[in-house]
Amino acid sequence: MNLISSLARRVLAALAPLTVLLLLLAGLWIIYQTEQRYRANQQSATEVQAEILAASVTAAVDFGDQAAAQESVDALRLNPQVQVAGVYDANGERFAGHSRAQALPEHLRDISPAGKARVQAVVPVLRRGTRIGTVYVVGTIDPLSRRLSRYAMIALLVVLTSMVLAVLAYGQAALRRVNRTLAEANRELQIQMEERARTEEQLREAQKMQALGQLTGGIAHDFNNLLAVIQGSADILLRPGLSDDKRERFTRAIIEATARGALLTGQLLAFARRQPLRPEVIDINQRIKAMLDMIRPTLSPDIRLETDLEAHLLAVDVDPGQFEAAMLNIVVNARDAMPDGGTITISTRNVLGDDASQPHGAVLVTVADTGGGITPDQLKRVFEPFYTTKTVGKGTGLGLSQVYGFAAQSGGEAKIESEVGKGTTVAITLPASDKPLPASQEPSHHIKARERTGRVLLVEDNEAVGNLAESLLGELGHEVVRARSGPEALSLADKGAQFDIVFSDVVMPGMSGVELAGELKQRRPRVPIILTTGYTEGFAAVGSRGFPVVRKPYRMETLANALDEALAAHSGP
Amino acid sequence: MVRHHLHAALFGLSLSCLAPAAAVAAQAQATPLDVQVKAAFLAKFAAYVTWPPGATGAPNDPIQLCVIGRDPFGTDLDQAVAHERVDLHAFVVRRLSATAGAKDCHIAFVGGSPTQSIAAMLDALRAKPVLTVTDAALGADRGMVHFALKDGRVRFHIDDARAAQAELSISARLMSLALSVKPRARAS
Repeated sequence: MNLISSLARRVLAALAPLTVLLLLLAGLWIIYQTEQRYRANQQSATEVQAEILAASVTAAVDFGDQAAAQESVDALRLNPQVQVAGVYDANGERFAGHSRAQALPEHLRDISPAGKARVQAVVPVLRRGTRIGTVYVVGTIDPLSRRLSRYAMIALLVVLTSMVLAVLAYGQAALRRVNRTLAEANRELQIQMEERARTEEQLREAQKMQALGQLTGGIAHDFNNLLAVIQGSADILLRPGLSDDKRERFTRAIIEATARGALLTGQLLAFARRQPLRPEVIDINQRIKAMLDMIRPTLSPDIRLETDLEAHLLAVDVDPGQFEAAMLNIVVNARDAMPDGGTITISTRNVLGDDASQPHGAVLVTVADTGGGITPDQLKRVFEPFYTTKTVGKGTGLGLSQVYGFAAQSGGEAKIESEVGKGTTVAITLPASDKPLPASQEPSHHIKARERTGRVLLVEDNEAVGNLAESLLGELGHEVVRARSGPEALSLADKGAQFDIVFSDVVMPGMSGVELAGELKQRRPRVPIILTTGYTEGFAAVGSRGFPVVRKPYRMETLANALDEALAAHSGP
Repeated sequence: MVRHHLHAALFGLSLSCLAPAAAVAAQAQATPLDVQVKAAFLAKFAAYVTWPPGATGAPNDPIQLCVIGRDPFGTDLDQAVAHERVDLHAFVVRRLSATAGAKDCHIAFVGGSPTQSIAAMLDALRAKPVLTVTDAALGADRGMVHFALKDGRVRFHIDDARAAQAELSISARLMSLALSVKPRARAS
């Protein structure tokens, strides 16, 4: 279709000048033909006039009657077509004649040949076949201007048609030119768009790399500090003859360092929103009240801590530990913003839910301080991980990013407002829960510690972690069967290896812990399975399928409790 | 060849009739100019007259130009017709004293004679296919063609009625040169 139309356009464009040319040629040909016919007509008319004159003057010439001859000639004067009429005798001498314009030659031999401007006829005067004289007649031809005016209509038509065609062709050409320009502009635009997209991609990549650099640098810095503590403590512990109180001090230093490390990774995961949350329906007010006793001692005496809590606050469904961590992070920031003292106000409010995203309403928790405030350009970045205005060693830069990650992962949002010199307000909005609060706010219903031991199938691909877990399990009085991968564990089970419980890592090459748990569940439906992981990516696709999970790094108590719970649940009363 | 002679004759003729002044000087002691012109005219009339069928005989039979009675022309007439042709017909000049032998004449100049008047001669030739020519200088009686001088030039009258009686047809071209024409009766 497009091809055909473009072909037609091209043909039309080529045809237009050709048609104009043909038209002009046809017009000229018609004019030429008409002109020729006109000339021929005039010629024959002149010849007829000459013949008539010759016949009428025959006797006059024969008998030398000039008067009679002149009479015949004069009769022709009435005819406007006759310009010149002359009668010559047998000797060629002029006998009679008249002339309208040019002089009539005295002798026949002086007659000039017919030119373009006139038609003439030279006819013999015959008496019974004998030539006795000659008649010379010149006819008129209309002047060129009059003849041309006769062709004006043809010329006009030809010119008009040519002009129409020319205008059409020109229009087509102009249209084609515009189309071409448009196509070029479009192509240019596309190229520019592609270049722009490429540039933006590069910019994004650069920004990503920058953020990644910042993140990894921050992590390395904090972990190096912790590792230095662990390394130093371990070195001292290796020395012989160490006093008991020193041994305990350095051991505790190691335990604290690992606890801080765990907190750090927890915050990282919270920011990445991969923190496995354990949401519970809680009363925020109650939690805040419980925290106050914990917070107060950390504040200097010139900082006042005030609360403004809504009386009947809606219940929310969040991870209480993460909530407490978020509150702590905000309060610590507020404290650090007020080195010369001030007031920290924690308030809670119900937000009525007319928003579709929060159908049951929400709870707004704000922490306001009267500190130095944050400049607007810093304010934009405070939720970024590892962004800190504090000196090295005083903060990790993960505090507010944990707040942000926690709020977002809980289905709410975190906002920060600040005015330099007046203070900063951090607001967390958390969606209200439709579930009722549990009757009693028992922090946890710890099972009665029924110490149980048994054979544990330990599946762990990392040798060091595996060794540590084996030691811990041994300390707890369990027997351990080691497997380094999912398939190995399955083959052990198929060979009839005896075990009472399975403790498996999740992220392993080949077969994940979750897949392994599914397989084992079919082979040994009565054997309880506990999964362990430091990273929740493995759950993103399939989830934990209901198996209990112990988060790495884990304390010995945590491991013991998990094993006891699982064994107790499966062995039954 | 014949054509060439004709041209020569015409040339001579036209000299005599178109340049009278020169001719007067050249032929002063000969016959008067008007007589020569009349002689030339006599030879020319044949071309403008149609005789009844059979009157002119075979295509190459000569036309008989008769001078009956008085002869004013002499040798001029012989010279005038010497190279004259009408179609294939040449001329023969016959001089007769009376109309008695004029039966075969085609053109007859009727001059009259003491024994036979012009009128009598014309009567004798009436209804015969002979173009009768008379001259005002010789008498008032008119034949079919009647020479007369007008403004010093030789002219003629035509009596077409008389020609009609003789079953002769005179060309309109010739009649257009005539001083007067007596038309033929419409009935005939």
